[in-house]
This record gives sequence, C-alpha cells and structure tokens, in this order.
Amino acid sequence: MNRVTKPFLIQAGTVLLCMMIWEAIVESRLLFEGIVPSIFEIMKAAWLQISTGFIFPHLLVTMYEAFVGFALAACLGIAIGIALGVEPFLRRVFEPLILYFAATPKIILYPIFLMMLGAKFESKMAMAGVSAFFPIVINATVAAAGIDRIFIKVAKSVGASSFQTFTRVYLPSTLLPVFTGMRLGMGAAFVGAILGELKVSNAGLGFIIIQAFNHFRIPEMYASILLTFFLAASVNFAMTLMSARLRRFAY
Amino acid sequence: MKDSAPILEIRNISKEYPGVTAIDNVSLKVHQHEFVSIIGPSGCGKSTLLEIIAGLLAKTSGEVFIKGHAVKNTHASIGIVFQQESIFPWRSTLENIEFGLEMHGVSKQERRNKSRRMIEIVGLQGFEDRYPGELSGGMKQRVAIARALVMEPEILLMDEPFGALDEQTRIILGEELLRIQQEIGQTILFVTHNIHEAVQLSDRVVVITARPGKIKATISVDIERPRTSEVIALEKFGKLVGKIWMLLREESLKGFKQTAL
Ligand SMILES: Nc1ncnc2c1ncn2[C@@H]1O[C@H](COP(=O)(O)OP(=O)(O)OP(=O)(O)O)[C@@H](O)[C@H]1O
Ligand SMILES: [Mg+2]
Repeated sequence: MNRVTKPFLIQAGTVLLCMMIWEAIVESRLLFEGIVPSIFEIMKAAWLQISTGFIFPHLLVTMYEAFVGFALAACLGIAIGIALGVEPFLRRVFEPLILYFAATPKIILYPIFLMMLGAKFESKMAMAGVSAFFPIVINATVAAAGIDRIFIKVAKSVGASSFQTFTRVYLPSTLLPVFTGMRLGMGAAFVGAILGELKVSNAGLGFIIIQAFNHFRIPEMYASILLTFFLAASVNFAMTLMSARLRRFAY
Repeated sequence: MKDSAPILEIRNISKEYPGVTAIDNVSLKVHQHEFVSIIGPSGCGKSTLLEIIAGLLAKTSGEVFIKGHAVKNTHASIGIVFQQESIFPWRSTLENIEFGLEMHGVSKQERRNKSRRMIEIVGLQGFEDRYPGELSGGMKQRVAIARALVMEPEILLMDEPFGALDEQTRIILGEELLRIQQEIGQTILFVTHNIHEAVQLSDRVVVITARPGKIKATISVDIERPRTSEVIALEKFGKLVGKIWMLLREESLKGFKQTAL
C-alpha cells in the first residue's frame, strides 16, 4: 500500500462508517424519527434533482454570486492588503479596524444590502464579497509585511518602477500566502452567498434548501445540502490543485 | 589618474541609527576605473555606507556625488551586490540574472544573450533553469554577482560578494572580476573582510575603524595591472597584507569588544 492510497482508504472508510451509523439510526427509529431520511432516499432525491435538471439553474446562480463577489473581494483585498503590508503607517492605522470588522458576522449587513441592492443576485454578491474580503486582505497584509526587504532593495537598485516592483516582487513573493487567503475567501464567499439566499431570495442553493425545509420535503432538503457540499468541496479541491502548481513558482 | 575629477565622491557622510552612530564623517573619492576596497571590523558600518551610496538608505548628513552631481536617490550608473542572500527564490538562475534588463525593457533576445554570457563568466553553465532552492550558497552569490554585472554599471558597489565562497573559488572569481572590470572599464567599490582579497584586487584599500566607522588609513597597492591571482606569490603582496593587518588589528579587537558587550 503506498502513501497515496492508504490515507484515501482511511478517508473512504470513515465516510462509509458515518453513513452506516446514519443508516442504523434511521432504521432503528430511535432518534430523530421522520426528520432524518434514509441515505437511499436522499440519493434518490439528489438523483431526481440532477436528472430533471432542477438543480442546475440554482447551482449556477449560487456560483455566479459567489464568484463575482469573490473576484471583487480578491482584487480589492490583494491591492489593499499589499498596500497595508508595505506601508507601516497605513498598517498601524487600518489593520486594527480590519481585524475588528473581520470578527463581526457579516450577516448583520444583509438588511442594508437588501435595501440598497434589492432581493436578487446583487445583495448576495455583496454578502459573498464582504465575506471573502477579510481573509484575503488579512493574508495579503501579513504576506506583504513579511517580505524580505532585500528584494525591494534589489528592485530599487536597478531602477524598477513602483508598478514593476508590485508585479515582479510583491506579487510573486507573496503568491502562496495570498493564495491561501483566496482559498479561505472562496469558502467564505459561498457561505456569504448561501446565507443571503437562505434569508431572502428566489433562486440559488440556499433558496431551494430553505424552500424544501418550509414545505417539509426532507429528503429533498438533504439532497440539496449534499449537492451544496459537493460544490464547495470541488471548488476547494480545484484551488488546492492550483496552489500545488503555484508552489513551483513560490518558495 | 588622480588629478581627473572623481567619478564617485562622498563627502562628510554620517549615519546615526537610534542610539548608534554607524558612520562618522566619512569622505572618499573614487576615480574612474579604480578598484577601491573597504575593510574594517564587523559592525563598523560598511554595509550602511554602501547602501547610502547606492541611494537605498537615508543618510543623517553628508553628500554623495556622481560625476560631480549630487545624488539623493538611486542612480542608473550604480549597481550593487548585497552582502546577504538576495536572489529571487521564485526566479530561475537565468530569470534572476535577467531581472534588471527586464525592468529596463530590454528585448527578450538581448536579455537572453547577455545573461547567458554572464552565466559563463560566473561559471554557472548547466544551472540556467534551476531555482535558488536547488543551488549552493556560493552559486547563489554568483547569481547575485551576475545579476549586477549584466547591467554593466559604471560604478559597481560590492558588499562582501565572495563572502559565501570557498577560498579557491573566491580567488578565481576575483581574477574574473578584474578581467570584466578591465573589459567594460568599471569603477568598483568593494567591501571585504579578507585582507588578501583586498590586496589581490584593489588599487587602494581603505581601512575603517571600529564603530563609529571613520577612515583610519588608505593604503595604495602599487602592483601593476593587468593582474592575475599570481600576485599572491609576490613579496610585495605579503608586505601589504601585513601592513593592513597591523592597522586593522587594533580596530578588530575594539570591534570584537563592542559586540561582546
Ligand atoms: N536598521 C538598523 N537599525 C539600527 N542599527 C543598525 C541598523 N542597521 C545597522 N545597524 C547598526 O549599524 C552598525 C553598522 O552596521 P553595518 O551593517 O553597516 O555593519 P558592517 O560593517 O557591514 O558589518 P559586517 O562586516 O558585519 O557586515 C552596526 O552596529 C549595526 O548594529
Ligand atoms: Mg555588512
């Protein structure tokens, strides 16, 4: 058994074991009777959501909201983070504010977004954006502040412009920590978008979950939760693959 | 040569860090094509002085002139090789050496050509596409030297560039440096803690006192050029090394006590 397959087998075994415990609880009818459906029922509902195509528009809506919010947050977060990391004074002024705000649940802003941007996509994008912004900006700040000053001196000594210094020194030397921030930010963007959908919306994964809940269509609700989980997991997996490729360029 | 206007002049340079005077009123003239070494005990302000000349560090007082013009910032005719490891870990050997040319908008083809030639000069053939993580300490330092040399700066500041190298490589690269200097007519200001190296390479050796760094003495090395490393065998060579050590001994002891405190 080699180093790759062994952890994988253990992971698969853990999942299988959890499913068996789940199924045992359902079958025994001792706990949560009627609100925990059998895995087979969930699978059936999930298959129905996929085969009828019902899930896809909602999947797209959620991805759209999360990705747009994330992209805006990434551009702003990286630029601001590096600026704060480079300028000790700016950092001293703004970093505490950012840290306080980062610790606040972003959902408290949702009513404001709803009023300003309406109940459609835009308010969820805003939720996704503010949620993604903080992990990205914090990681970029720390990364830029930790850059070895000698690299900046080298760039200066050959007459590099500030823009060149940003793109050729700051970006590559902070690539990995910034990317870590982006990974966390991507996760946060989905949390933000779906949280918004759960509250007020008419489309998206959060919407169909809460709809199924309201109409007590329990297997359907679990199926949507499961598919949401798979979406989040695959996005994170894709970013893990990307960061493995980036590692070659960073250090 | 000494009568012509100096290409580089520093006048009354002082640098104070909070609580420490690193440099105290240093003045120095360096003429075109000259090779001047600065030697002094550890912590006497050599790196500080070089970074001030390069325009990378603010001075407390004094002035730097290049070809008669006072300069306050970095300057296109100055190149610098730093004492500490400074090559970019995210760039290959070739990409590191190309960095400065790239910043100046030199075409890719020309960059490649110049950098490849530099790679041969510093003896890194076969390592063009390696990343710094795969190079030895001495190889990394040679990349840094190549990165500065490829820009062909009129004035090259070198801060213990061979410090991380073994003695043999150090002597050979020193010889190579003199050859390049001859070829492109560079002026070099060279910091070292190696007396032999200072004598092998320099026209003049400037001895700096323990902190606060002041100029203690300037020794002329009257060994004719072009020189090879064979000068090491000359009787004159040994005498100069001895003379410099006598000047340096006292300062080194003082410097050592400062750091021991
Ligand atoms: N950023 C700084 N803040 C405060 N003091 C500093 C700073 N940089 C250097 N110094 C002090 O200035 C003095 C001179 O430092 P410098 O690095 O120029 O010495 P050096 O002659 O290059 O030494 P070495 O031969 O060990 O490289 C030292 O005493 C050092 O402690
Ligand atoms: Mg030094």
